[in-house]
Amino acid sequence: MMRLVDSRGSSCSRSTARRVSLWLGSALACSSVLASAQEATFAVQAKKVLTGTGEAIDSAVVLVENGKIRAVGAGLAIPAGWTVHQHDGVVMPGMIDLGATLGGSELLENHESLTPDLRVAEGLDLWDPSFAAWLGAGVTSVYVIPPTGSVIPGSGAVVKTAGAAAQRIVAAEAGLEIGLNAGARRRDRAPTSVQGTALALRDLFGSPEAQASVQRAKRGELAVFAHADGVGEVRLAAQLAKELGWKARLVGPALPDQALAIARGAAIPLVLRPLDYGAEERTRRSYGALGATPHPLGFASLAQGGAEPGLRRGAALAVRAGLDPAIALRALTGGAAAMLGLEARLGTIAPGRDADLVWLDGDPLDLGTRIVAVFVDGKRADRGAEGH
Amino acid sequence: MKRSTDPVGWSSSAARALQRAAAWIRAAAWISAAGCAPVLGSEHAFASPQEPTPPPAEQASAAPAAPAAARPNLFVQGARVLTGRGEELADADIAITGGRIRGVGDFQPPANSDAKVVDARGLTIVPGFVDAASDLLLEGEARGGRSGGSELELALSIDPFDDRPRLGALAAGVTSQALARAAQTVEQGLSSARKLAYPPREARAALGAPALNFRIGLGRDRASKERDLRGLISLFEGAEKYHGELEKYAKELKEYEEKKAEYDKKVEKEREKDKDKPEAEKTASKEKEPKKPREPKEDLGKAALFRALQGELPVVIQLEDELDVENALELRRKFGLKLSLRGLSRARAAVDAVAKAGVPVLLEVDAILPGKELTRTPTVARDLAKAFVDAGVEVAFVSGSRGRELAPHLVDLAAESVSRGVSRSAALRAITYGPARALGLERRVGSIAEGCDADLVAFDGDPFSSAARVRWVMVDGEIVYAADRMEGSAQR
Amino acid sequence: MLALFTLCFAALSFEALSLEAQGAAVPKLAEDPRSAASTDTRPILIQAGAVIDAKGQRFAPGSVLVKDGKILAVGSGLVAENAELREFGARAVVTPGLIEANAELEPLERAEEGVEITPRLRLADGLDPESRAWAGLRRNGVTSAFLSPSGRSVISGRGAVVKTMPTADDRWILDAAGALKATTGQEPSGGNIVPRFGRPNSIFYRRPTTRMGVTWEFRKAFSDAQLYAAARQAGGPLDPDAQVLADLMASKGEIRMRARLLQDIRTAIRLAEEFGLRLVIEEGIESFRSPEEILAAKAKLIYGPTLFQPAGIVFGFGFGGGSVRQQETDRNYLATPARLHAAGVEFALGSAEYAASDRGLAHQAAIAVHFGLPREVALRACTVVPATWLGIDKRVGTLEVGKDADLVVWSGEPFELATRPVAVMVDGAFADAQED
Repeated sequence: MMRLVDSRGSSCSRSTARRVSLWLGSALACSSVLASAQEATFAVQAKKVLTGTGEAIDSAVVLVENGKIRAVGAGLAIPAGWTVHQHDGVVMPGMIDLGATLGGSELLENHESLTPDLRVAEGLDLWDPSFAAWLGAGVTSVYVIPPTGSVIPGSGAVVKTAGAAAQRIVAAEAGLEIGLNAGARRRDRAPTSVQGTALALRDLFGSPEAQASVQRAKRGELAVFAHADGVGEVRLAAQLAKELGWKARLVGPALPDQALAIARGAAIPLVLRPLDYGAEERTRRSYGALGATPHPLGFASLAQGGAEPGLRRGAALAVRAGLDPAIALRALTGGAAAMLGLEARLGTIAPGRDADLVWLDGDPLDLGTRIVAVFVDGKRADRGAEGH
Repeated sequence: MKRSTDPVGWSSSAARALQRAAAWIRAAAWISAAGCAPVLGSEHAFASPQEPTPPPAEQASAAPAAPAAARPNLFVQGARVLTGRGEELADADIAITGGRIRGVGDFQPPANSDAKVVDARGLTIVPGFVDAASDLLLEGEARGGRSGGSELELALSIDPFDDRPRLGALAAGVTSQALARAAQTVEQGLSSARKLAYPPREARAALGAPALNFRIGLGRDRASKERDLRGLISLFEGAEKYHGELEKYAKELKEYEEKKAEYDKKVEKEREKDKDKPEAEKTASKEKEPKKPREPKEDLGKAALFRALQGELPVVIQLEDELDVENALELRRKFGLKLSLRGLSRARAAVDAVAKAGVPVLLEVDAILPGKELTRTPTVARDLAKAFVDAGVEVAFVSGSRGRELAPHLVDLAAESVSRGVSRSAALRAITYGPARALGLERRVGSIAEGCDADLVAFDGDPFSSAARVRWVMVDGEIVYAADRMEGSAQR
Repeated sequence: MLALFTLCFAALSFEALSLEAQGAAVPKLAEDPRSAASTDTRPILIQAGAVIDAKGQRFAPGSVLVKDGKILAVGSGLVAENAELREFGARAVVTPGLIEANAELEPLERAEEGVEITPRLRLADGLDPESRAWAGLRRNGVTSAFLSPSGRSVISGRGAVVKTMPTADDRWILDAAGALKATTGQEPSGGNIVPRFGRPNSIFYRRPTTRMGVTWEFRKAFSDAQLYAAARQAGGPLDPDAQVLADLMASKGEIRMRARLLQDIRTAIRLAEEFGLRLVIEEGIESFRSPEEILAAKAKLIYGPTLFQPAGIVFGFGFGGGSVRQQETDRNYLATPARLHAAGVEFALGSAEYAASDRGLAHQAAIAVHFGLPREVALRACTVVPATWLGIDKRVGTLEVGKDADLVVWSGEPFELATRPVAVMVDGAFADAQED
């Protein structure tokens, strides 16, 4: 529950506050609230702050100045004149979806299978309604990728789900997408097989005339997001990463515990697709078997548009299956930012980071927990999409 | 076949099953007489001689696992108990006799008794979850398809060879479940409920609760909805007519039998008279032989429909939007059906009408979490479940037509409904007491209260917390699933 | 090495084990680091009615002692004090694990259909340890297999030799760059079409569309490679595909050609001769028609599969049946292995796309025996011969001390139609019965 406190620090009477909060519940989008929340400089006092690094601070204050986090901690002094929000719940960093196709249907060039120089950032519709849906679910940054369908469909971009248009694209070329999974192959276009895919990739990365993005990936400047489903594909991904010098991330393995065994040896971070209701028992057990692994993890909805990313549900169901909650939470926030190389801006609540914050009424990994508010760059951005 | 004594045509196995079920309901009435009202916190001394009157013997045999000895032989001790009806008890004990709950409160097992004790300190115990409509147990063909008919007994379509879905749901705390399907047809068939702890064809699995299932609103336009309604009305009217014919036939048959007896007697008498006459002089009887009435063609579907009209058989109607609800309530008014509604994913505008009618609703995932899959559909209301709860409707969350996927996640669905505004206690009720009431089984399952079956699920935390896991599941006083045991065997 | 072995003995106190008595082979360790890896696991003693070591010895009753994935001893009445005993009864017979010399699994996933000539493709890159095929192979008693690339291309790349029990690491892959595979006959041209309507925008609008076209593609690839090799020596640019073929010719390497009908077998022999390659014929269904040609060409023959099918269906002759020619084809078809043996041709058995099915190697060998092939020849054709040809005979193929503990326990005399494998051991571990 969010309660407003007078900007000079003298709190309103309890009943007034309650009335205000009731009123807020029914009309969150109301302009006067927004007016006060629109200021990108404020302090928030919360019952608990999860910083995204695995740390939880009780009764903490987060200071947000001009859209950036100035400080976080218990018992911080609030500068005079600052607006103070009280939040009787949890504040966490905005979540990061490590792979979703949002922003239009025109993101796959179908003619050829290897098109590394195509950039999603250049075909993107920032006003696709799915961004708002992701925002409402507490996802403030999305690594937007071309849909599965080619071996190299292009490079992905990190995009904020809200904010000023000029600042929404955080990284225009954040990673090279490579599909080793069945979805990337087609029977009527070479390569049609796994080993053909391997050969095509070896040829491409071995060629001195390869495209700029391939050269960057070869030098390890551009992360490679290798989509692999079965264990055989995971093995191949690890092998190619070693051979071709990729800074690789392994995306979407069907059985994460088996993928972990391979990825651990090759020191490749794992990006998991969120569990959903209906996952097979074997899959659930495989997610649970990750336990409290210290291996870097992230989550990617791998959705193509849609009404919700299902990231928080997926993480919660994985926790139900046995994944350590702290690990799951890190995978949704700080861990994911590190995988994008954007840990200096996203994923944690720490001085200097973007003030992308999610307010919840309870533990973020409990299915019953509601998102109360979402802030992007210090500005209230949600219209109560997930809650009310 | 002795059809003359069977005027409603109860001769097929389906019909017999119905009769059995009806008999069961009557037999189970003793529970209601004894009452399974919660005796919360009362400090029963079970060693005291004051024992509740045991049920009459012949009725007790009808209900499975009825208490033979009155003394509790099992104590679950020291748990946090959520009764399913909204009460929460810290550090409570549950006393169990012969698979039935004898009380919830503060108990000590009497000294030198051989009662078993289950230490449940640190655990949260909730009633076994009740899934009031699910296709989990049905074989593939029966779950959907186009064939239908009110004479179809869904229990006959249970897949007896695949035990994994059942055990999976049981391990997730679902202990009771009613059958349901989602076929592309109006008459979906006759459902019944069973306990998931036992192989579905075993007698002890049967929980009764037979109900006739219908589906309307398959077409989205007004005209086809109207057609569905008229079709259903004429179905029920046909059943009435059929019953009338049967009654008429029974009456005519009785008259015929009387007349025939009279005729036979007269003919006999004439014969007696003509006995000595030579053959040529015998006169033919002047009496006219009565004609046997024609028996109406047997129709089990209509027979079942008629039982629904009599209020003996509850009716579940699966539907989608407010217009369907209007039609369903119209049917109820017209025929006095004992109705519950299933689906309602786009029936936000009909919440008040449902509440006013006092009809329970069975909500599937698209109504519990609307907008999870649909995009940009203006009629989707994200707070549908909350609206029903707030309006005072008895709500049950069901896995419905996606039983294989969702039955193991019933508790997760309930937990997620909390994020859509449903209160925690209402969410728990919607998978325990709510569905039990919707099925008319509230005196046996769905709550932790005296007289109810000892179907319990123990979590090692709050059941809605992701970090909590099912530690064990108890059905009729027996532990049927234990996580420790399973984890050991699951290791490869 | 010998010292190491004695050390094992001392540690395990095998006093009761007397090797001389059973006439078992002299202990000799293969050069595999795993054998010395750990010595604290319990040995397994397998006892059965008979043990056939595929080297000409039969021990009845027989036992095999296995430890750390290797065979410690083979003989009669072995005793080992702390060993885990596995008794299979007096009827059971133990043989070496079979070696499937020609397994073609999941054709679609193994085929690269975009191009005809793909010599650099390696089937090992597409291996799926999770596939059900491994269990299917094990059900046939197969413990090692040559996985042959699909026949949908003219030159379709390198096969792989694997054990049929995948491991988490790459240990189970014995040879990731096996022989180069080529295909003659109809198959590579099967899916290709001549554009008749619309734009020719499918990858299947291409040559070859006939047998002759297939041969032409093969010959062109290798003649181009010859030209390339000359140009390359003169400082020309690198063409990695042609390089593979040039290297193969330079080293007089091995080419595996699938050839079924006699004309295809002859084509294969001719092509191998033309380019100086050593020939392995896969399938060779009509090889019975001219065994002398195969002998003269010194080609290795991997014969099979044999299928019980009514006359006329097998090669697409139509369903008419009944002509003398068809009846002959049918009769001789089933007895081909026996006829090849009589003609003095040494061959291995293979079951191609049926390798992981009920008609896999165990069934193929049973048919061969049923139609006249001596049992010991059939066993050699499934063990020693393919092991030698695949270059893995130092590790597998016979039951010998120091070799990999790959073996099959049969329900009775092997290769009887009513006999089946009851247990399969790969590298000293029995396959999970539930999974199989």
